[in-house]
Amino acid sequence: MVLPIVAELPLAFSNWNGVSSLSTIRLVGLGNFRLLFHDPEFNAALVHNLVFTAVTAVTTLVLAVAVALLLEQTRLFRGFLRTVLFLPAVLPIVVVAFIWEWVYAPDIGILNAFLNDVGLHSLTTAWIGNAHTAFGAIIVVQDWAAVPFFMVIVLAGLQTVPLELEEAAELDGAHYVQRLRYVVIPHLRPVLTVVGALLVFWGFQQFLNVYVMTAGGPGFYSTQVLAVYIYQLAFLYDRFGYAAAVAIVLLLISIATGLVYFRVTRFGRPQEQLN
Amino acid sequence: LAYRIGAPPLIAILLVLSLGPIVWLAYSSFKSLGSIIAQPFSLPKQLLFSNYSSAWTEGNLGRDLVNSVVVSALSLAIMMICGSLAGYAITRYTTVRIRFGVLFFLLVGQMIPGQVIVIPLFLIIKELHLLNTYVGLALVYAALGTPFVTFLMQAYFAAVPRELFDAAAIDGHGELSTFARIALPIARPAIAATLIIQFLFVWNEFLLASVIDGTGNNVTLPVGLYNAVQGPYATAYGIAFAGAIIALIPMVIVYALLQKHIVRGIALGAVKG
Repeated sequence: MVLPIVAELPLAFSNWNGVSSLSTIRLVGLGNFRLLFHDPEFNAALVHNLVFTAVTAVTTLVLAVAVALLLEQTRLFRGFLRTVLFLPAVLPIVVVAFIWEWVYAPDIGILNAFLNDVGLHSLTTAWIGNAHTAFGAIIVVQDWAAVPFFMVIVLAGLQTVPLELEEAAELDGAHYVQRLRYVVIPHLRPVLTVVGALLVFWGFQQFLNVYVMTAGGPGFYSTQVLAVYIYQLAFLYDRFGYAAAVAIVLLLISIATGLVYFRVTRFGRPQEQLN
Repeated sequence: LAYRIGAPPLIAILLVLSLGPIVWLAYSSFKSLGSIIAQPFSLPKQLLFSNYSSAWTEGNLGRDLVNSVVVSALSLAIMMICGSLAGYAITRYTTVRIRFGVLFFLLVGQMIPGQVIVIPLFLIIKELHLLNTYVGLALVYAALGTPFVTFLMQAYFAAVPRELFDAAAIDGHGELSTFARIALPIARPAIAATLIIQFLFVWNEFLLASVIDGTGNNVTLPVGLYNAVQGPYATAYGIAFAGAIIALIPMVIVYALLQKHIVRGIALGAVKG
């Protein structure tokens, strides 16, 4: 794990194009990093990464808890429902991206077909071909695959909530929302912290949905994210040095976000006991 | 108890949202292109298997499936051997301080996104002249997976009483024999969990596979599907749909067979994070 990072650092300060032999590389000092700040595509990607991470983390977390709570109190077809609803999480992500590209498609897509059928023709659009809807559409896809995954983790966490405590609260006249607020959610906190950490890490690593569905477009990088930009710079435009500089920035942001997250949630410290 | 009454409709909506697209893809993959465009929701009137034969042979997905199996088997074998040996060594032969140092190092390494190190990994494999080979990609996966395997295995070995290993040594077992006959059988649940988690990762991985084996005859299934659907079958939706189904079937079968282990493995993996 160390070797790649060590190998990446000098690259980030060079102008290597991926073809010339390593001995002819010219070091350009901080040139690559200076370039970054004036690069509109980099700035757009950076903002998208932050928004994407924040929105998918919050929505996935909320939806995963909501679905887990719903399944927890459903007695009918219990095992079947859990098995089937988890399915999107095991599909290869490429397949997920393609399925949704087709669902959103203007010619064959069932989303537009559905909107037409229920009389909402005015809402139909080329969902990922439209610069206004593409980013949101990708966030939906991310949630679609991530919610089942985290729902399973939250369900496992729900098993740790002592039943007596919930019953006691019910006897005391606490209604459902109060029981959630004061009994269930506090017990879930360690699990939710782990889930949140994973979501934040994954959010910054977002690559495949964007790469497959929009490749950063349409328009002026309306869905571009850092990982896709790195890939395109290096393997499409042969600008390995500049790509390495972007990668270093992505790494630094990931580390910084991780540290902030751990500080805010006091992750890893003993959880306070509930009485 | 209003929330109980609302549950069945909510679950119905959930089922439609999460399974609808998959079901639509599945039955549409048997339809002709004209029918897919003209009647998006209708079931196929007759089952058109030609989509599948096209995707399998001309789309090369049959070949890519074999590639995926080879790369997965090779990389999993390497990382399980290295990881379990390393995990054993860490628990048996180091002081507590060294052990925590090593584990901290492994965990930090785990948190570095693959996207960040894709360029240097590409360079290393290029310098080794292993681009577009099974071995090149398998080595990369093994290198990325070994820390995780090591971590889980050492956690498992550490819970085994030392006396068990010491007794084996007194009985005349050598180091490797103690490892193979005592340690490994005990760690079977950990081996199963790590194998499954790493298999999910290796089988579905796209970015590194496309960079290291992106062209030629050694592409894995996700990359092969991408090449086919973005290339020759971009508007041949029937064949593209069939290709997507071919690419997802192996995962669905594995999931159906190992469902309990997968769910447990994911919970375990999450706790590790």
